[in-house]
Amino acid sequence: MNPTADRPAPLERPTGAKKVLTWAFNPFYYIAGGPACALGILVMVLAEAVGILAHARFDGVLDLHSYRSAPLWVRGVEVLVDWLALGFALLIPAKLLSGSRGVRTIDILGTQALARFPFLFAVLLATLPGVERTTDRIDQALQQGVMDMSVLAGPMADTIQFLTFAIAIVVLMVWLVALMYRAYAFSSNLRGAKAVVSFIAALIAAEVLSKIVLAVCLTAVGATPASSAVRTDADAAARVAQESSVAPGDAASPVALAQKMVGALGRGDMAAASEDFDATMRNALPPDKLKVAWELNTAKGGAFQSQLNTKTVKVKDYDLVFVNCHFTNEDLALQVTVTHDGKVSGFFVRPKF
Amino acid sequence: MTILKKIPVFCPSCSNLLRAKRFECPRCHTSVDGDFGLPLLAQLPLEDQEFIAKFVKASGSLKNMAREYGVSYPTVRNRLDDLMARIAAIETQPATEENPEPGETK
Repeated sequence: MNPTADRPAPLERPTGAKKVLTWAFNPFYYIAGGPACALGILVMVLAEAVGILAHARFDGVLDLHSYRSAPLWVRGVEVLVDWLALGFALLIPAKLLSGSRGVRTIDILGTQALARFPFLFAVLLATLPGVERTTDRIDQALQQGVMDMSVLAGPMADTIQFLTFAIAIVVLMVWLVALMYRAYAFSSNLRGAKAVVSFIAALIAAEVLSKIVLAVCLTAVGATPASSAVRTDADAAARVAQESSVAPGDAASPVALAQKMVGALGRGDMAAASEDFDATMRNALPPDKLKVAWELNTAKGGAFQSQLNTKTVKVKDYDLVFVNCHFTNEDLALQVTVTHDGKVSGFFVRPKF
Repeated sequence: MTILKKIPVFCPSCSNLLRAKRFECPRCHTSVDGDFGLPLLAQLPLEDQEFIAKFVKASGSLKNMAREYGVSYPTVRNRLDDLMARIAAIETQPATEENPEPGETK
């Protein structure tokens, strides 16, 4: 009988629509190894650059989160961990399961780097102003533990942009995973159930691994509390809130409380700065960690100089007090979230409003 | 214009491996009759034979092959893996009266 009935396609360059489809879903047919690695790294750097503009971070193998700013080196560590965690998690089954003796590490890593290019489109879409404003609302609602649809209500244009973004993100994530799978299957020459099951297992392992490695790295420099309690945000409040300029108030007012806290931070008196923290903040940010978080999150601004103007936004039971501050390099706004009983329940570093 | 005829390897009716009955010298037309089995490489599709020829001419370098075809290294290597699987399949085919070992004459 004919053992060659399943004839291979000749090694030719596809043309027309087939060529477009090959580039879209299997660019590794043309590019792999070192060139894919170089191109993939370029794409990741571009995505990071746009991510800074869009106030987005890639804090996991498949993660893209808004409104979590970070120093450049943290961004660099994140993107490297995301890429390499999956790359090495896939390399193990590729070497163990593939019957091919020619599986190369550079192909697995390089094609995985290139497979991340849908992230570039995702982060470009995240720069749409309507998307930013809507995610600001979601972010602020989540910060206050409130998930009320009225908080999300905004102009129709914003809603349309956000819905378009949401749909596009789903499509892009499917494309991303499809490319990651194709990169793995193609570089290892694995097929069928063996390829699918090992890919899913490696992807889950890499996602967990990336989260652990990032948590360990950031904790080591005192940045973990910052990511949960002190986050630099885009000028969310300026876009979302109905602004109301507030003059310095009496000693018990949220503004006075925020000004007192910011003044203490500026002086480096962390004990005084944390005096009005609620229980959660006290546990999350004792004075020594508050000092690290303060230095880390205001590093780009330089040395604290003085307080400027303030404004207050009321969100449910909370007063969000924004204090514009003058730093040597760049002015920043410090957002202090004050509860109805006069305690500080959140502290965020944001661009000046 | 010379047309390169594709050598039929399998029976179009029952897909069994064909065998050669006669060879003829194109110059003096001397012919040799017999029953000749096809060598292993002749049993491969023409595309595979061309691939093997290019592979040998590229000194067995898959990188050079990839460059020549304008594709990536894994594309060529996967193609080679497929080819190896085909050859293994031919080699493991049981030899029967209808299908003797490749190259064997009766």
